[in-house]
Amino acid sequence: MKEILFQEFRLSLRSGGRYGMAVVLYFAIALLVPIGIGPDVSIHKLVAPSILWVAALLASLLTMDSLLARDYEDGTIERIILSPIPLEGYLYSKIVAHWCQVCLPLCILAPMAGIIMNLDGSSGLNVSFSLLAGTPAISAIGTFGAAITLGMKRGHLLQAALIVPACIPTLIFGSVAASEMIRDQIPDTSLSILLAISLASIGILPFASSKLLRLCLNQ
Amino acid sequence: MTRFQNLWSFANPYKFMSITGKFMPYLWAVSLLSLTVGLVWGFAFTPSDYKQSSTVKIIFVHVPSALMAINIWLMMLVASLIWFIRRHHVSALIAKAAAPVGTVMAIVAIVTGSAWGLPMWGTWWAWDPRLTSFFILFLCYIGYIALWNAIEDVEWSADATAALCLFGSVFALLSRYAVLFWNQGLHQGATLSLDSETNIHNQYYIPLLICICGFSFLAITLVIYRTRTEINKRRIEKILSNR
Repeated sequence: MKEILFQEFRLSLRSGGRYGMAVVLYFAIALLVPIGIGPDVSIHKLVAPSILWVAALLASLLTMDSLLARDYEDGTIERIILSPIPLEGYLYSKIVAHWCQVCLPLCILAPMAGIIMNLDGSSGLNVSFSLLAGTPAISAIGTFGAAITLGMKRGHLLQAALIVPACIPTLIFGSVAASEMIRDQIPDTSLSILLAISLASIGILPFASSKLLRLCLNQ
Repeated sequence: MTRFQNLWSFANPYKFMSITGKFMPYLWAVSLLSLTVGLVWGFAFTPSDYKQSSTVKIIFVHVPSALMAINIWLMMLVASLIWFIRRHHVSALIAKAAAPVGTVMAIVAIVTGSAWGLPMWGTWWAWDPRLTSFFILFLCYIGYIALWNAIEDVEWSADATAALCLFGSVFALLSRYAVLFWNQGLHQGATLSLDSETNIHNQYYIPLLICICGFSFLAITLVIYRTRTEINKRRIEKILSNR
């Protein structure tokens, strides 16, 4: 399992920074939205946490297209089902790899993107904290979406379409938690629900996806 | 009725076809009759509300269709569970057949709701908790139908869509409570509960109940009709592939 994880990192490094796209996209949205809104700083500050959340969501969704598809095409998943490595472990290493390569950089870079939107440093840190709490759910949901759309020729678009409704609760609670922290309120409810969604998705969805993969591939 | 001992005998496509084949004309008749009575009574023989004037009558289409859109999703959830547990193909086909019906119901509910919303609230659409969660339900329907059509293998697509249905239900429910978090309800609460003091007036209540009955029967009829079509389609494909 550790090998799978390292293999993922090596592959993404050698394939020419496929995941760098996420960061580029993130900054593109963070740059374009203020330009679209106009130079009114108060509006920027108001919408910044939500925009950063939406940008993180889009950036991590768009890098999910070939999460499992390539492994399915070259037969890796079938080999793993036959091998003693648990399929759940394989899926977990996929999720961890995706999260470390896409979501973690976004969390770290959120204060920088926040500066573009006139957020000060501590508010930016608040946003990255809420992203840190919420993005594991997005990675897990995305992997489940990849498992559902595995049998399809061009599943990327449909995968995104299926994942988006499922990401709405995460988005709502995440941006609410970020704005509450910025306004110096204690984000009790929102943050705990956000963490609950993350934990539940990480705990349940990989098992559900591995069950589904076994059902579909053993026919 | 000695011919079917329990509910599971419907899992046999042959029995399903023969039994539902007998009921189909009656189902059509009941649903069309109750729809006609309910809608004509609702539109023609109820007074206009003193505040909302005649727009109040949209309720006779809006409430039953919204109710059906939600109930059909619940039905699909049960059918998907049965598919996962007992692997009956009829169950998967019922879920498949129900999705477009539910989608149409959701569209009807959204369109009639916004037609009522423009004169009453002054806007077609608001990001109100109920409206938002309904929109998410609509998205789930669309994704479900798209997934059924996208995968070639029959069992595989049944598995994937059933998984999507379970997954979508959890997240649709979660979104329902997530949007309540915004706490800015524009949509009024339920006025139809059986035990509530502030129910809608009887003048509207009785035709509305008939309309709900009509929409329910219409939904059941359409779902069974579409399931029969799916089974027939499978049979034809089987025959053609055997030649």
